[in-house]
Amino acid sequence: MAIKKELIEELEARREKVLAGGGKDKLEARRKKGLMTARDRLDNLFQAGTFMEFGMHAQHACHNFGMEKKELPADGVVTGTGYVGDRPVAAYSEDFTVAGGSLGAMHAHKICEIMDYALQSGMPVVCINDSGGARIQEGVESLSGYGKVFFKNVYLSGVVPQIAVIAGPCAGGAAYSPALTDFQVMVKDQANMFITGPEVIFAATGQKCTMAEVGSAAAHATISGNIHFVADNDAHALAIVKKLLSFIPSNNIMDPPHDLTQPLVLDEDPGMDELVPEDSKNPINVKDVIGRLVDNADFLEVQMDFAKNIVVGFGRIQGIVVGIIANQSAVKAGAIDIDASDKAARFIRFCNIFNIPIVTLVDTGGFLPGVAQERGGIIRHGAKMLFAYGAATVPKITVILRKAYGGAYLAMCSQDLGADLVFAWPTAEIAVMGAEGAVKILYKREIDKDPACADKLIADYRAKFASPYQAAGKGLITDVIRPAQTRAMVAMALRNTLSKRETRPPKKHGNIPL
Amino acid sequence: MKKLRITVDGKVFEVVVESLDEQGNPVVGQPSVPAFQQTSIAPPPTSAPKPAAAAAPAGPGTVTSPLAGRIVSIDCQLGQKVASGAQLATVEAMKMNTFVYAERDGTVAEIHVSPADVVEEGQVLVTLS
Repeated sequence: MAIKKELIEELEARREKVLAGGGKDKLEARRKKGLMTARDRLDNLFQAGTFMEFGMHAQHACHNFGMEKKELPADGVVTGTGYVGDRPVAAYSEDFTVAGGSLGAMHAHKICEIMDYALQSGMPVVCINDSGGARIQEGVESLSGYGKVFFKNVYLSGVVPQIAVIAGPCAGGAAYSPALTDFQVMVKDQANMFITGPEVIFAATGQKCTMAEVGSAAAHATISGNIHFVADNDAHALAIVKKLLSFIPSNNIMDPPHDLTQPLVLDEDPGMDELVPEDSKNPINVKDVIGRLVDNADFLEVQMDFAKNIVVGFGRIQGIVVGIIANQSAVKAGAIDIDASDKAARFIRFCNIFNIPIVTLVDTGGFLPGVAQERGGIIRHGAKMLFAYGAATVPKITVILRKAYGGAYLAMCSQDLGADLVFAWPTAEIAVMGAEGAVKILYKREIDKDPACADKLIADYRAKFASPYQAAGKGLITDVIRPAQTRAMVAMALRNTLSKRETRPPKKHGNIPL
Repeated sequence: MKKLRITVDGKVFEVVVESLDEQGNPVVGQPSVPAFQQTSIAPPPTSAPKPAAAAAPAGPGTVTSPLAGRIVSIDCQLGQKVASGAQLATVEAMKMNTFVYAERDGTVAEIHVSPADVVEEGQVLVTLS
């Protein structure tokens, strides 16, 4: 006796209807435009055949404005789990072909359910946003739905990684859900994200602007700093998500996917010596240094188009996953400004949550001087970096390439901010301030009497203090190393420090200056 | 559908190829979405998207100082033809030289500053025509 045929047929018929979303014609129209459908995106994210759907047969319960006659397949959001590589990952994908992907009570409930499951199971969540916004017919229930999703985002934050893909419109309050996740990937051209768009801005303030200026991926990647990655299309966005997942653990009590099977190689890399310009005033493109430091020059840069004076991202050093924070002396002299501080601090905190060791490369003349910086709050923004480093308990390895002056030296994970090991190149200049400024203060009277003596005093100061040996002499540096030794020493330092244990007094959370 | 990666003159393109029958309809029996491939992880984006209009406040052809500092040298001459990426000036700030490059091809029409001048962030250094 087998199961009744009709029951199977009904199931298949129901499945087919849901899989068609807003209708086969609508799905095909999207594909013709080069856009993926909600389900295409999940199929692309997960290994074939591993998608397990949650709540396929969900129905809304709205009886207003004729909604009782409308069926919304899966209520406009496809949720479930699947495998990325060898690890399970939870995801939801909003279906723009179903009522514009609008969020109603059931839609929000499904999102919250999958997030709860991810939390319990300790797996990352990928949130694919493609929605016209609140489902107006459902009124305040829809608003409440957003609130519930935001709360879940916050609840999961710091326990499992959350990665948002903005693949279509993401307007008004809806934009706060991706903003509460760890990383945002935005697809250029087809996606936009804003709290108030050009029409509302014009109506409210009279200011004219374009969508490209306020809501495009380019604007968010370069100016507002709201997003972390720009993708060319859906497939590229999902490739970025997969790449990102390859560096991070599934949850906060697991280690990142290190590859510790390879033997430690301590060979020198003469190419690194050659990167260092003879004239200490000339910039080094720090991405070249990173390229030589990480395995196979494989570096996933985060926020590459925002605050380019600091470079952050993920790589592996002889198999060990690291987060790298590096001053970029080729942009704005590597000075740390408000945006650079925010960018670095957020990245450091992500690494700390998910047990990713931090490697810091220092080459900065200091915090950027200027009225705009002071009035913009460089004190509280710069303090975020100090706070983030000081609070991080993961292995912290610092390499001082060249300039390390004043507060910026401290802010770039100095020994005093808790670095476990600090290496310095012979080109390192670790001092409280630059020679010119220091001499003007130290020898004010002498220079007032005889301005000609200033040059010699500056040269003397530089020779004595613009080196790693003053700091090394005071025990602030583990060792001075040749650039060629950097990869070997950092790799060994990481292996040695991987078993680090550090506990702090229990507390709700520190009070990072926001 | 099948996803292919094609390299032309060093540029990498990712294309989706779909088999069609004589009527131009997709061949049935094939999955309609790109199949997942373990090895198909694309490289991260390498080129920065052009910033929005707001990022070019000084108008076309103007080359501005990226930060406040002192001019070390002007590395181009009046009337000189320069290609995108050519070094036009050197600004010293924060104990470091910052090179200022042409963002597009052009001819040096005006040089607004001289060595040892103190410049503000965003100040126009050179105008390209």
